[in-house]
Amino acid sequence: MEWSADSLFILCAMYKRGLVQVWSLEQPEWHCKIDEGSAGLVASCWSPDGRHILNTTEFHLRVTVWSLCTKSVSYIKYPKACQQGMAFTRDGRYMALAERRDCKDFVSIFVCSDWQLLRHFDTDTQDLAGVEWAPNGCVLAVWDSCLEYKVLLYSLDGRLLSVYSAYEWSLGIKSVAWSPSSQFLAIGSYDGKVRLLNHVTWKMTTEFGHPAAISNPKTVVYREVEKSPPPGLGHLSLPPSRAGARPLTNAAASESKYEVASVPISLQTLKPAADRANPRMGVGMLAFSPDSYFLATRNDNIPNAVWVWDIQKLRLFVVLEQLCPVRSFQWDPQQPRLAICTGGNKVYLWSPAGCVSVQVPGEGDFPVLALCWHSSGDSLALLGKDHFCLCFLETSKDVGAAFGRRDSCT
Amino acid sequence: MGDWMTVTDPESQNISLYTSETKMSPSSLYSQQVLCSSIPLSKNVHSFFSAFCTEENIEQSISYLDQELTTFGFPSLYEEPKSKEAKKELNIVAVLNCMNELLVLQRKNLLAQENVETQNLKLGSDMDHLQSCYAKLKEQLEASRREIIGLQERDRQLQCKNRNLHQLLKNEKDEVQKLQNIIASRATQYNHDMKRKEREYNKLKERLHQLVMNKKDKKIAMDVLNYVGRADGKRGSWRTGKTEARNEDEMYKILLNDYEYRQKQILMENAELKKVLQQMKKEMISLLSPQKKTPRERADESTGAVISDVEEDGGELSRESMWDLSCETVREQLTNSIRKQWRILKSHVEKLDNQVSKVNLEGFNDEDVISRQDHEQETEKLELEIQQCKEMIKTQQQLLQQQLATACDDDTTSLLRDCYLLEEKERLKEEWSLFKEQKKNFERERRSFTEAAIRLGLERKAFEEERASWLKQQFLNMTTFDHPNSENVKLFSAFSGSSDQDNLPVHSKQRQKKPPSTSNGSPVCTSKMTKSLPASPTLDSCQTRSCVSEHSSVSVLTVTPEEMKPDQVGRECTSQTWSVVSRPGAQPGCSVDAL
Repeated sequence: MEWSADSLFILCAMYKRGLVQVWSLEQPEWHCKIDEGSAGLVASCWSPDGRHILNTTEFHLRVTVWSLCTKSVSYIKYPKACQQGMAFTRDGRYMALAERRDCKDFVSIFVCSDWQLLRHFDTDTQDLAGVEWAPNGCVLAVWDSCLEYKVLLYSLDGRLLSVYSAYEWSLGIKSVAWSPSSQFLAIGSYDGKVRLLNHVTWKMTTEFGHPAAISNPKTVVYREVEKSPPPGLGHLSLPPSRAGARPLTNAAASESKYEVASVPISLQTLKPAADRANPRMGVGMLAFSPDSYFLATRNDNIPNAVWVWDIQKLRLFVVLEQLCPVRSFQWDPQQPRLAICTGGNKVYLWSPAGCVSVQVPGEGDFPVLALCWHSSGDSLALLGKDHFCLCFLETSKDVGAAFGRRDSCT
Repeated sequence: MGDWMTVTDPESQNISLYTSETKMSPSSLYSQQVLCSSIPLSKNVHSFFSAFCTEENIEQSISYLDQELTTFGFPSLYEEPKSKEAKKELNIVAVLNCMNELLVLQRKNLLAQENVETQNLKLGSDMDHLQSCYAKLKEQLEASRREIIGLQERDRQLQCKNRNLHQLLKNEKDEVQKLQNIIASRATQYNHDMKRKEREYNKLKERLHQLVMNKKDKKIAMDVLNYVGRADGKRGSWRTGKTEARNEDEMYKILLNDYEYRQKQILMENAELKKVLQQMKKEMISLLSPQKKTPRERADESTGAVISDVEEDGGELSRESMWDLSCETVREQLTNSIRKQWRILKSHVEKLDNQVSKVNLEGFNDEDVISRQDHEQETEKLELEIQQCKEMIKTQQQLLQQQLATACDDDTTSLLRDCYLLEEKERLKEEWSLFKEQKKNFERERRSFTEAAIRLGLERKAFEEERASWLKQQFLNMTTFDHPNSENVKLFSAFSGSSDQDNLPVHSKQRQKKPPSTSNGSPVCTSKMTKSLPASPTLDSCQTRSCVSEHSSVSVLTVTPEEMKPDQVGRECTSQTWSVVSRPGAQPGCSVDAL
């Protein structure tokens, strides 16, 4: 299910049936149904202008572009079946599509307004794993699969700007993120390091390691700690710890708070199975804060910890160690505020001022499986199994909550 | 015969040998000698001695002895035979000589033996010592040999290990290389396989695609109620070459915009950095230039360089501003000048560091010692002061406490208060008494002085009267009346002058009192003078002189009280009064000479 970019239409795709239904908000009686038939449906998404729907057929045979304006259909052949094969620029003008023909990788750049092919070039990759546009829309990052560490940077007109490869033979790139100012490209790899490339020379500026033992006294380590529930008493105002944790009252379930652990400290590590594919190691999650000051990462070896790096000073700023493995984190779109969820019934917020652990109120357990910020940065949607919760963040740091039931269909 | 046998030296072996059984043949005796040679006999000596020669075999023993002695080279014991058949007589002298000789020999032999024995012992001990040394050295040698062997063994083992490790390392490296090669080959193999499989897959996909496309069943359709307008409200446009070109143009425009934006940013950054560099350079120059005062060559050089650089930079700056900062040469010049300045600054700082370190090294110990001593002294002083202050505070506190504690008792407090002031009071009293005494003394003195002055005045008056009378008499004696008025006038003038003179030194107060009396007095005097004055100018002059002197003396007298110390107020007053007193007294007395 997906909203169109102008919030006028909602797309509902049923992959099993190969059907896509579009509903209009303005005109409730308007409807549209797209049937891929025997071609099948693997993925469906809106184009940035909100008037075209791109369906990826089964086996990645082709990408069908259905136009809602003209009822026309366009086909794009040989799309690549990879992690992140399709990418739109932020302004929605261009789309980059990874293709594979004759065992070679290609990238096609389309103009979204009329779906004309702008550029088509081959890439020097073994097995292209993903493409991503820089936020300024002028540079396209293309990276290879994890068997080879290679990142290629192409300009909008298809010229190869630079190639970067940190090492050979070991497992390579796991995740890639652009900084919102397009100044840095962060590459997280299986060796547990993040490498920052700068946009001027496309050479590595620095690399951040994720060791299990933290010894630098300048980094602050917040450790989530179970607070023993007060016996029988409902409301207790406990003295706030230095981390500024103010837990919610109504300790129905166990509460937790953050406490500052003293350095040197060693984090819990997970030994990945060496003989399996896609091992749980390396930097799997990367996210820049909206002002490009901070980079939040997660090393899959140490799944309970979120590492926040200060990009201004290029060093580790804060480590947040949770009790459960971190499922996802997302930055507030407006300010450097990070929301983390671990699948427990709490959502964790971190900002340079401090961090807080907020329990989702309600009866029973509410496992927070995913979260999503509102674009204004005022509210946060927490998604559970079949419930979701809206979290309002006011400037006075009070947290309110509103409940809703999540539709089980999608 | 038995006597001299027993006298023989019991230690001697030879004699004992000889004094063995004489009944035996010489050969047996000899054999016995051999047997008994090593055993010094003491107890059996007598028996031996007596065994050799008994009373029966004297002649035999003598002959035997003679034989033995002659064989040894001694002279014969017998006397020289007179005839062949005559009995050989014992030459006692010879016997005695032989005995003496034998004794001497014996002694010599004994000495020699002793020497030899001692030497033997010495040699034996030396030998033992050497042998032990030898044994020790041998042991040491053995031990060191064993050690060497051990070390050699160890060295060998270690070398073996080293070689093994090297070998292992090489093996490992080779293995690593091999594995890498294997990986590479496997990768290529997998790639090849994957490509093959991919081709197959593509073929399948194509086939499927064809099938799907061919089917063209109605299912693949879009069912839209009505067309939706475009997001931006425009109509759709056909795909033509123009649109393509337009797209290209747009794309290039976007790229160019981005590049321009970035270039602007970079230019701005550049400008800022250049500004910073310029500022740094200026500051460095300003830092270095005040060092002109230090008379060092390098400093001069640097300042010289600085000055020249400043001039250069001045020109440069103007040039730079003209040329818009992006010129290559200008940039190079700027960086070069900055580097130069930085080097100069660095060398300067290093020099200062060296200086400081030298000073520290040289004078550090002394300074340290001195300063420490001073410091210690000062600290001691301060500590003493602190202690004293503390003690004072304590005592004061105690006193205060006492005061506070005993404040309730009035008498005691008053007493206490009094006792604090008692000393002072007594002192004051003493001083007051002293002061009073002094005052009394002063009063007394003043009175005495006044009395003395009065007496003096009276005496003077008397004296004046006497003189006046005497002078009058003289004048009366001398008859001189032919002096004209000029003389009188002269005298008058002189007198007036003198009276004026007289008036001048007198106190103003007296003058106020005086004038009427003097004015009265003087005409009277002059009139009297005209009558009675003699004509001789000398007399007059001398009189005037005397008058003048008198006046002067009077004036002197009047002056002196004024010259007296003003703090003796009383005295002055008395002197003034005394002068006043003298005046009226003097005048009537000196009416002739008109004072």
